[in-house]
Amino acid sequence: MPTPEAQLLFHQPIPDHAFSQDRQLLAVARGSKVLLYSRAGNEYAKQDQELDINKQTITSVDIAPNSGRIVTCSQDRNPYVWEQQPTGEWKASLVLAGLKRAGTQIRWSPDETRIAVGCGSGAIAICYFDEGNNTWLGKHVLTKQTYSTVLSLAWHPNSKILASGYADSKTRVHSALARGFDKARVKKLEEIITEWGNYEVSTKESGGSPVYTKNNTVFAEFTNPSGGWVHAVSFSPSGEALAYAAHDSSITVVYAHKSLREEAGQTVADFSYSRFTVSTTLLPFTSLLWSREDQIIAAGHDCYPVIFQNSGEGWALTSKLNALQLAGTGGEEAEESAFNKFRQMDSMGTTSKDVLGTIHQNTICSLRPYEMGPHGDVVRFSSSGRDGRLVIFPVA
Amino acid sequence: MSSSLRPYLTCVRSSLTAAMSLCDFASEVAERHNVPEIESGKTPEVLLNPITIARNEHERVLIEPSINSIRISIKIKQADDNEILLVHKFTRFLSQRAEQFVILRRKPVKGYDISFLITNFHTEQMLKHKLVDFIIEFMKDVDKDISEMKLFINTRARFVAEAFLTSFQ
Repeated sequence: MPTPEAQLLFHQPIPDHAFSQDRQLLAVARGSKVLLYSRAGNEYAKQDQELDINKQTITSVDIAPNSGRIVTCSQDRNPYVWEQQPTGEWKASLVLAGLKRAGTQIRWSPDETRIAVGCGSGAIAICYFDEGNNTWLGKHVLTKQTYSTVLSLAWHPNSKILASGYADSKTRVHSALARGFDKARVKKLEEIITEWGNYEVSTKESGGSPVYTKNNTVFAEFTNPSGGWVHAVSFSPSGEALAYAAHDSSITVVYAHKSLREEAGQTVADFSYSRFTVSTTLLPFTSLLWSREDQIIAAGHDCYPVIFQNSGEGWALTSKLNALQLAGTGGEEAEESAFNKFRQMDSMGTTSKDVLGTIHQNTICSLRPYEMGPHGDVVRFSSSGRDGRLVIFPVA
Repeated sequence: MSSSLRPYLTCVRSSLTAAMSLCDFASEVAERHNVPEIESGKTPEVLLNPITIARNEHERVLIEPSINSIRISIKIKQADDNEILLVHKFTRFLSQRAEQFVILRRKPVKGYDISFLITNFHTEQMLKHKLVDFIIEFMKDVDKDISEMKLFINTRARFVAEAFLTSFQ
């Protein structure tokens, strides 16, 4: 098995990182700046350019796979879109998202036409490019209710559905269509009935053909049974399942089931959701990544990634990617074990270790897919942590 | 050290390790602010239930966790007036120098002798397991220090009394 590639970038936390499609460019959030690194040999070398326009801690950064544009959001409420000029310089344009509190997470939609930003006020802004005004504009979804801080966001692969995790231990799956931007008339039934719920449509405004009416259609809402802030949400590669990780050290996988029936000449869909919760005795997870349809990688306060697998009988924690175990298994260690045993008895619960037995020395904040296999599986993934390290793990 | 100290400290240790799973969290109440939620207390959903771990009626630890900060308050054993005075002087000395101790709180929580406030910025700068070690080490040493000081006062008192009374022989 190949060994993980670890690189210490700096001695400061990395809240988020993102790779370009060809993995040559790495964007890393550091304080109120985003640092850019380019691949040089086996390492990432720092570029001279920095994306420095935000005033407060950058909480999230994302790179669009095809257009290569970078988005950042920060606790100073302003998201920016960065575009590389032909000269190589990065130019920022402000996104008029109208956030009232800190931006918590920002993600490009898979089709790269819009950006979702989560906010500390509980609002989610769907931002799109307004050609008329030549600016990025944001429309808030889920504005009617007062919600708690959005801790995490995830796009459905179809770019029309969004999942969000909140600090009030709720996970919501909702529409990501912004009224005004998504003016397009609904032509097909599949556009109203998605895998996760129905859009509300109206035929009044347009006189005949139905159009989307509401910005804030919540398809489904899940409360974590034992509470706990939802730190991470993620859709499976097919979009059929949703996983979320909460502060009670559990991950939950939700599957949506749709059944169609005829009612008064119209097709109506009923939805039911089945949930599988895997509780662990580890510390809470802060990030989730689907490596394939039946495998989830999770990492968080335990400083190492773990793998959850669906064996067909349900989800279970199958392995821990804890490559650097300091607890030796050599003969010398074994001889000392009696000594160690008594020393541990005397230690009164304190440890004498200066370094942890893991590669990351502090909480892992984000996981990203690094290399995809031939079938679209994640072969390698990267993790960044509060210790300023970037590690590229092979999926075992 | 008595045998009840070890399970007590082990319990405090594992509770602290779990409670210290902190993350960066900007205030929901005030824009562009980032405050320890356990101190502001204005956002109820990001506060967790406080835990009290008691060794006996005189010694206990209160852990109040939240999403970006935890407050740890320690009640130090005080058996007699001498110890009450010593603990008061000792904790006052430390709290007055709270800036130098980084994680120390200036004022203890009511009913406790000394309080620590650990935020996500502390766990970012320092190793988490070392912070836990520090608290445990502090709890272990403070009892020792207090009883040492008490012994020292007693010996000194005896010596002074003897020296004073010899003049009347």
